[in-house]
Amino acid sequence: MHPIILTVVLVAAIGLAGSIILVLASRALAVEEDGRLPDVVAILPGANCGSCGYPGCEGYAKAMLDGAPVNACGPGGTRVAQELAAYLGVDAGKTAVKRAIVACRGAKDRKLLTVDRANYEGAPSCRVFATLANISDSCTNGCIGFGDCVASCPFGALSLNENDVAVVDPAVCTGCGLCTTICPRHLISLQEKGQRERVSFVLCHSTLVGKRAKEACANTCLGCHKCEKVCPTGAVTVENNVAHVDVAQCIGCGACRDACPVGAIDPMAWVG
Amino acid sequence: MMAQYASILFSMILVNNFVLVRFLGICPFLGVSKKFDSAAGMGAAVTLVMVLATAVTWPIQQLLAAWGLEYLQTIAFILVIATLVQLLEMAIKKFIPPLYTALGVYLPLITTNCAVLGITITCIDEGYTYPQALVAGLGAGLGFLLAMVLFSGVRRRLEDAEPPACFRGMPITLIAAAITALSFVGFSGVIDHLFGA
Repeated sequence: MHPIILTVVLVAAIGLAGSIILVLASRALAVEEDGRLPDVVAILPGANCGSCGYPGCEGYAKAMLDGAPVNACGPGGTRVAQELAAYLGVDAGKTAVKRAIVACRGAKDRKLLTVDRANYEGAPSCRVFATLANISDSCTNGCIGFGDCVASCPFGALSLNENDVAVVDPAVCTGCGLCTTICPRHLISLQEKGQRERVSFVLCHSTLVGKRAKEACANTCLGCHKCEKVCPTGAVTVENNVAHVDVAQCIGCGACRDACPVGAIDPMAWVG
Repeated sequence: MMAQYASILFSMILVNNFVLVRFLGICPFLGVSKKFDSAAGMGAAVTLVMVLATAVTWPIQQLLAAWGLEYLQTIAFILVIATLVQLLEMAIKKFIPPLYTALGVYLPLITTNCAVLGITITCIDEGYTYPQALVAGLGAGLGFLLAMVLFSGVRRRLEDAEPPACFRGMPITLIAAAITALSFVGFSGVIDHLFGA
């Protein structure tokens, strides 16, 4: 027989024998997977953000089939928890609504932009800027505005506004918390929804004082204590020259917002 | 007769250790040696594949030699090894699911583990008889298992060690692997004196 034909026949024969063995083995050794798994994965948002504490949506789906609570999905919120509860026939429980918020309002002519970023020639990334850039006497707790958080959001909930400051769209935000780990200045936090639809929130972390603060940014919190004095529930405290609102105590009356001379306090709206 | 088999077995485990002396199968050696359990599981899986692979490829080699097709050795052997690994993967998934998750992608990668192809070709090159080839396959597998288990212990020590920042992670692991390999050089000649082969 011609050697080429022999070669081809031989290799084909080995391959065929191997494939027959494998087909038989796959029948004999088939592993039954829980048929509900694909359905449960389909109900989950599929963002694989990890806010539930499991490795990805599939990991959480497997855990739920083994009896884990169905209310851990941040992006899915109450709706997904109810769907899962209905599908698996368990109690939905309470889902905590969380939203990210950027604690900086910035100003178009803040020193961070006009001096530091104007002299900066590195890569356009907040995290690179935070490690490399020469910082003048600008606000060291302000939004850098290169939008690392915008790029990190899998849902497109973040954007840069006209002042080059990141803002969260609460209607799109799912509270997964990915952006909170990105910001080198730790400006983004997750806030849990309490009783109210709206609460006041201080959009500034600047610890600078008086004239220096005002020079660095027009919208800075000066630490003037006016908000602290007008708050009827004592939810506002001023520490290190910057005000802070305890969301759990805030009744959303807006007194602090009206009292603030620079407009550093803003209502935070919950959606969903 | 027995001395000859013992000589092959122990020289494969110690003197010609596939990982630490011949530097074959480094990928799973570095990839799965982090935990003792998965290292031992991987070692056992590779041992099984090595014995099965030598058991199947030795007759095939005789077939190839009879038809004068020795040049098909590599492709035919890889085909057989790939089939065996697939088979093993199904069996592990069915009977030992925790090991299946622990080994992850390294399980199908046994297919391309050069140590497995290495032992089958070594058996042919050394001119072993069929029982000798089986013993050599077992020895090579046990040698791999030994290397994996030893190195998983070394790596556990490495986790507590505090090397300079630039050495942390893979660099210090590679250095530790090199030192472990160096210790195996000490075995050269031991078997010859023990069994007089």
